[in-house]
Amino acid sequence: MTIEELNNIDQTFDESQFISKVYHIFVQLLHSIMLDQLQNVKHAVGDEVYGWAEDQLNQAKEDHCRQMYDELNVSDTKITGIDMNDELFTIDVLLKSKYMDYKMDLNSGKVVSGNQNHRIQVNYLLRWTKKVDAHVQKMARKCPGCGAPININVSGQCQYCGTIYNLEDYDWILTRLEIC
Amino acid sequence: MKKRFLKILKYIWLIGILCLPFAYSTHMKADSGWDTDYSSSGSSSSSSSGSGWSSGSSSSGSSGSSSSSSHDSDRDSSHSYRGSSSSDGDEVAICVLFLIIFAVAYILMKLFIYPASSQNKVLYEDIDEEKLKALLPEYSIEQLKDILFNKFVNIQEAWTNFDYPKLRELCSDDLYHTYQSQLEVLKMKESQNMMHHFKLVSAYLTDVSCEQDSVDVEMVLRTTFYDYIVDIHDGSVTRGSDTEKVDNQYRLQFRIAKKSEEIKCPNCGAKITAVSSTECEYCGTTIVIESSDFVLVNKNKIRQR
Repeated sequence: MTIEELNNIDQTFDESQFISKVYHIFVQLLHSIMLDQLQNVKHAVGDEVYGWAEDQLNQAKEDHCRQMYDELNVSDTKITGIDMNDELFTIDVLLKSKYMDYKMDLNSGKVVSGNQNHRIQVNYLLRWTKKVDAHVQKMARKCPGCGAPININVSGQCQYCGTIYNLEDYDWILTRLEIC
Repeated sequence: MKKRFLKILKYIWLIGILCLPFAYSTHMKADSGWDTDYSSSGSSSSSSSGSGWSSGSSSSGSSGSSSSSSHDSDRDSSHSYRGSSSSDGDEVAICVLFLIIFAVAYILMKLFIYPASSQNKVLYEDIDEEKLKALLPEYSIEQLKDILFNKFVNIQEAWTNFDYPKLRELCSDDLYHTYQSQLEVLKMKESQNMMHHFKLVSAYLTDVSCEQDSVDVEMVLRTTFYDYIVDIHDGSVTRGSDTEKVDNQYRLQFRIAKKSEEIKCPNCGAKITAVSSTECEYCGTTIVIESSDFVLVNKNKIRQR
């Protein structure tokens, strides 16, 4: 499927806005691992990706370390495939990022493994999905649990009742992540 | 004689063109969004990926340094040629030497005297004024370049100073939250990214387009500035250089709302000033709307010198 064909079916789709979203959610995902704030991205990723992020975080914690993706920069983002079935739109993206990959001791702050001086390039294959019958997001976003105002760009979790805003009912979410 | 000379010339140009990518490879040497690479030794793996030229760069240069590989072709075909006279061979050698000197001089000129301006002229140019006026009639191209460059500088300064309210005002919702999380990591490392003394080298308005509720403007900007990271406790430089400016070229995307009419809160009906994402001051509802002023939506580094 081409972008034009996708646009004909989903008229809210805009390529540059989608690429921008890919960048932001990817950066926030890696930062949430660094800062131990996975709840901030839970609404924007599927279970598989959330599980991967939890694994990264927990592996570092077991070693009393913090996993760093320091000076993270996304140098290129490219749509490699678009598909559709009865329930979901699917977009595959090749994302090229650069960062300093190292682990930092939680207590001393010293580097225990990896390289703190040079960025390495890491390419990711990301799969994004959106429901075919997704609702249009309104101007005012409210918690599905209690109706309180919610700013999903800060965190997808309601600060009052803790309910996670279900972004998959409205927008693209990251459902698969693979390092290549 | 002429045919042989042309053949040699062709080989020299071919070698020169093959050497051209190496002549233009940049030495990787921080900025908001971590576009600058501070690696002092510039490992080849990082310098060759992601920050190199776009595909059009090789078209801007035409000559390259050459190595003398032409003697073999002289010998191969000259068995009978040497039998007649050696002066022709000397003339060819002198011509080749002259060409090598010329090629090296040309490369040095391109690298150190006229590097950027020629490349920028080849790659980027402003859109037509009419195209801009059709979507943003209140701005001229030069005026908009000034405005957007100043916004860019203000954003970098806000990043340096951890000025979240300023970043909120100047960036789109998504970009603001990305910068916010990046700054939190900086704070966690007890570091500060210093950026100052911005000087505009070149700016091109390369595109303007109309979205549903907004107008997007794309600008290719080249600027020099000091970019380094310091320890917040003692001010020592931990990454980059405080004595040498970086020279970066960016593709920036700014966005502005199509109409700056008053917007009412969908929850309580109160009037709201248009900023990307705001809370109604009466009922606290978070509103997502396009800004009535230019905000930075995307920033991609094209090249770092």
